[in-house]
Amino acid sequence: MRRLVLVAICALWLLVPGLASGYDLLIVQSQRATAYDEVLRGLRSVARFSERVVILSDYSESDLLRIAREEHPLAIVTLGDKALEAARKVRQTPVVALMSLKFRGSSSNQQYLTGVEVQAAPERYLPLFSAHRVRRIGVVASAVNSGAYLRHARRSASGFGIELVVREVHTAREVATQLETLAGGVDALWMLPDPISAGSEAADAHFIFSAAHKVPVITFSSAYLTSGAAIALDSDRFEMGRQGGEMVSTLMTGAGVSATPPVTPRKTTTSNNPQVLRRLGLRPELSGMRGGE
Amino acid sequence: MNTMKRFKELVTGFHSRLFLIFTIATGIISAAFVLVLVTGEVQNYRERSTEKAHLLASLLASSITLPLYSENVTELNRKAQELLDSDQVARIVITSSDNRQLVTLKSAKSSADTPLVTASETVRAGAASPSAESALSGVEHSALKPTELGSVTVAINTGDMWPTIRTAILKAGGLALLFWLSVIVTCYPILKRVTRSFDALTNGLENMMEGDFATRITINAADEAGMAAQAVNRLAEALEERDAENRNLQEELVNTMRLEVQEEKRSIMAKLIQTNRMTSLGLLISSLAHNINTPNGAIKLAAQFLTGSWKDAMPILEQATHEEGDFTLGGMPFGVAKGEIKGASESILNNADRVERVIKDLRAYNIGERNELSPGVSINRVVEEALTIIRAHGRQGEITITHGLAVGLPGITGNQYQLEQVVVNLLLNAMQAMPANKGAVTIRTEVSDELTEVRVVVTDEGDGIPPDVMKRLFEPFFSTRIDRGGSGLGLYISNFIVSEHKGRLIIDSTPGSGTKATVHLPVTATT
Repeated sequence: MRRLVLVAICALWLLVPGLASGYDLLIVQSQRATAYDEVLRGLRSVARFSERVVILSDYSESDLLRIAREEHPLAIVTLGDKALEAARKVRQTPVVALMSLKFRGSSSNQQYLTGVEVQAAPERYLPLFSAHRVRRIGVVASAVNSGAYLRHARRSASGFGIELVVREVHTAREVATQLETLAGGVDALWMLPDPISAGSEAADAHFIFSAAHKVPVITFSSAYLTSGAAIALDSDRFEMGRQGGEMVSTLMTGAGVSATPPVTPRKTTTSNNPQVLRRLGLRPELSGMRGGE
Repeated sequence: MNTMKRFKELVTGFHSRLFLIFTIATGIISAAFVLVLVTGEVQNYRERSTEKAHLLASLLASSITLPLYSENVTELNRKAQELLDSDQVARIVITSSDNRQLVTLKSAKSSADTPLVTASETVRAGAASPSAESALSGVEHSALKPTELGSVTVAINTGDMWPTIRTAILKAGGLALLFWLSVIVTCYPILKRVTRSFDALTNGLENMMEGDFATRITINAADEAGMAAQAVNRLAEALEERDAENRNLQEELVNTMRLEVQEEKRSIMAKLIQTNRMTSLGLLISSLAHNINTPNGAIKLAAQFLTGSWKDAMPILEQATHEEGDFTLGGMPFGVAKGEIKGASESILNNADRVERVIKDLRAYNIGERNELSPGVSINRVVEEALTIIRAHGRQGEITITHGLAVGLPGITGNQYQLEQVVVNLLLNAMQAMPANKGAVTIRTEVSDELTEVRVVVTDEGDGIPPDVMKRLFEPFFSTRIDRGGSGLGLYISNFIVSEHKGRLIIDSTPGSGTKATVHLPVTATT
């Protein structure tokens, strides 16, 4: 009997510390996605931390706040908008946002929040427009999500001799109507990763407009090339993950969030739809520029 | 009438019925197919209309995703109007997800009472392009639940359904009619040819029904009708033979009957003649009796006178003989002559009496007198009288009749004359049975041990009676000698008479061994 008690005590002594020790990095994913896995590979390629992965789509509801409070991760990495929204409630733990449309570094007013924006900097896009001699670029976006980016883009566009014609929308339903107002007034459409203006129907509206008015659409993901986009500028996910990993490493050293300000993707890839380009009278070879650091 | 008959024959004939049944069946089947076709056509039309409506609704739904999403009523109207201009579209309604009717268009071509087929499709936000999140994360946007944006209802005008169906009916009906007529026209000669063997069979049978068994049915084919024709031919052959046999038999029968009738006629005539002869005989006997009685009476008187006279003369002649001695009288001595003369006169008297009696009996027999029964009738006397008649008959030939009469026979109650008739008949039969009129006939009388029965037995040495004749002995008018004057009534009457006397007449005979006839008579009195 005495021996049994001794064994129980030893087990507890071994296990409880294990339980109590937790992990350093809490990774929260909105859902399972290969893109997220790619980002995580990039993140882990920088440094390996003890981690716990929580996939929100696996649970009917989850309380990140409680997890953070009880398990005391040193940092939280979010992948996707839903994960970001869940992590926003956590104030005491730094959060690195990756792959989140709603994360705008410039408009982030949260002390504990940093991350990598999904949208490449305007400077990556503007040369493309310039190469195709596009002067007037139509943009339909929401001020809430894309306001700061557009301001930045406007500033940069003037240096390329490009005029941004912006139409603001508040709901996705307004996109088609606003696009119609651009008829005959723009040479190309720039589709931003705005959740409102780049929803499915809104995206369709862009391509319908493109087909109707022979206006190319330059977008942020090669997934749209098959829908009718002419040129896509993809942010490299692995690299984004690495960027995130670097941020996490910095945070693990005890540095604050301020030491890791939000950044835009370091590496992009340009791709195009030659048929669409030809139909629109553009030269595909001019779109073959690859973006780099 | 002829036409009616021919028409009736035509309608009820085998060919006609078969053809009619075939025609009707084909017609019904064709009509059924037309019906099925038309029903299918109606069904198809409705399904097509419904499918068309669904298709148009789907088409419109897929084309108005964005305008509906953005509630661009102008664009929605334009799209709806484009569709409304198509054929058959009667009405389009576009409704938002919160059931607000955004667009309602009606075609001017359709009226309120035009039948419509309606289809609705939900407009979903299943856009071709991925959402921004899907584009970034790579998760299929179709995995996300598509949002309902609203619905589209398209109504198709089916007013032209009935004209379409009418056309279909006309076409189908026309084809069916053509088909039916073709079948009739082509099948009639085929039917005729195929049933040719039945024709031969039926014609042959018709002839046979009229009794012509000489007809043979032509066998056109080795089918069932051919086999039936073969069988019928054999049957006809057999019937023909039977018919011929029947005719022959009938002929034979007729001939036989004719012969029998003739025989019968002859027999009847013979009997009639015999009866007539008997009647004539009766008359003859009456006449004879009268003609004999008269001289017989004279003879009796003379005989009585002579007897009396001799009686008176005898003492004188005896004295003369006594005085002068014997003398010749009538060529013989007186002593002898006196006995002879006495005997002669007695004989004359006796025979005259006998003649009188015979005549009396004959008369009594003829007119059927004395039918009444009298007691104390002596059978011996009956036999004697019968023998007298037989002897008087004079036709014995060389037949000897021996009689043995029992002594002290009791008398019976009966009719002597009738019993004499019986004995005479038996004796005559016995004599007639003797071959070549030679032989011996015996008649005797006897009494039973108890003295209750008297018998008369007549036996002959004839050929005997064959068994088939024995059976018919007592039949009236049955005779083996009808052609020799036999009436066939002798034994019949004798048996009748004996029966009337409460007696029995038994005939025992063995062919080749003669015959014995025994009359059994009951005794009622003793003498």
